[in-house]
Amino acid sequence: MTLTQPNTGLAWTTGSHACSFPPLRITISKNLFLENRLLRVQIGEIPVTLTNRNVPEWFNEITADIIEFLKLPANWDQEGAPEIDNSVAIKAICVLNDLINKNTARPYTFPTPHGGIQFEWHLEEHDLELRFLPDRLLLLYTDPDEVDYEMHYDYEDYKYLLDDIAKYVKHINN
Amino acid sequence: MDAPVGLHDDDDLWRRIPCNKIIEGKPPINYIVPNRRKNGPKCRPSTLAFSNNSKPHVKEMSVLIAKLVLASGRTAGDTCNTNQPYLVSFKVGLVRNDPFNREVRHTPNSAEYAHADVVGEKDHKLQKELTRQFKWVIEPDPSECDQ
Repeated sequence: MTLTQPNTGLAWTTGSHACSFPPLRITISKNLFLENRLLRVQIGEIPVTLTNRNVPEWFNEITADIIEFLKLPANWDQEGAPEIDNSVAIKAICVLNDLINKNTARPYTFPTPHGGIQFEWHLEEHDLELRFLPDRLLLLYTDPDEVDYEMHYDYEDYKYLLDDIAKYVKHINN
Repeated sequence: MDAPVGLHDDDDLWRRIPCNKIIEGKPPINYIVPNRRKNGPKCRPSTLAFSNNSKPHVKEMSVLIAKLVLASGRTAGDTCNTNQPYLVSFKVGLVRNDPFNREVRHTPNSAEYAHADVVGEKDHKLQKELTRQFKWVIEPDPSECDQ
């Protein structure tokens, strides 16, 4: 399924759900749950359907945190940070939902100073950061030998992005 | 106001780490995570703590020149506040000796003579190196980096 935002013409096709770029009001009353699992999250006027139900309990909390980040005013960090971009929030939620399973460790989740969202995992031998910026996704990985890897992904090729990131995310699945 | 001072590679810079209580009913947003390195402190700053500020058309990260703060008779604690309660230090040479031609400019203002900016790109390599080589000056409680 592909959704195209009429105002922008932008679309982000992700197979069974879609993420677009709505500069719209936030409504969270339409979130859908089934047996305590989040099935759909409403960001602006865009309902984002979450297809992966095999998620740990922390997923709902992280999603709620991200929706809270969308309420941050500009300059929330007192260093000129812009508001968090709705489309970035959608991408962060979608990618996280598609990557994780019930055994995935809970990430630290932060708004970034440049309008994005960052997930961080710091396990015994691995550091993994996923930095969702308005125009791209950065993967930052440090292996057990303290060697750093940095990858930049275009959001346009979602399938490739997911496949590639999955190679690193396996390290944070228990 | 006095003229800007010269800086040596082994001079210490202080970077304040934010901890913002912004969302009602939620814990403060801090950039503090567990440090998995052996023999290090339990917590360390996230790489995000070493980002440029978001002012348009500039690539600056605010810091303080430690020797100027101390020369003014103040302590590290005097430079912190509720929203920036923690402080790390790192060497001038770490941020300016690199291929990006970063520089550290003493940029005193009316509120803080010791203010400086690390000017230039802060790529992940530098951010990560700062999380390895920093030292806490004012350290958070270890519980701050618990989930």
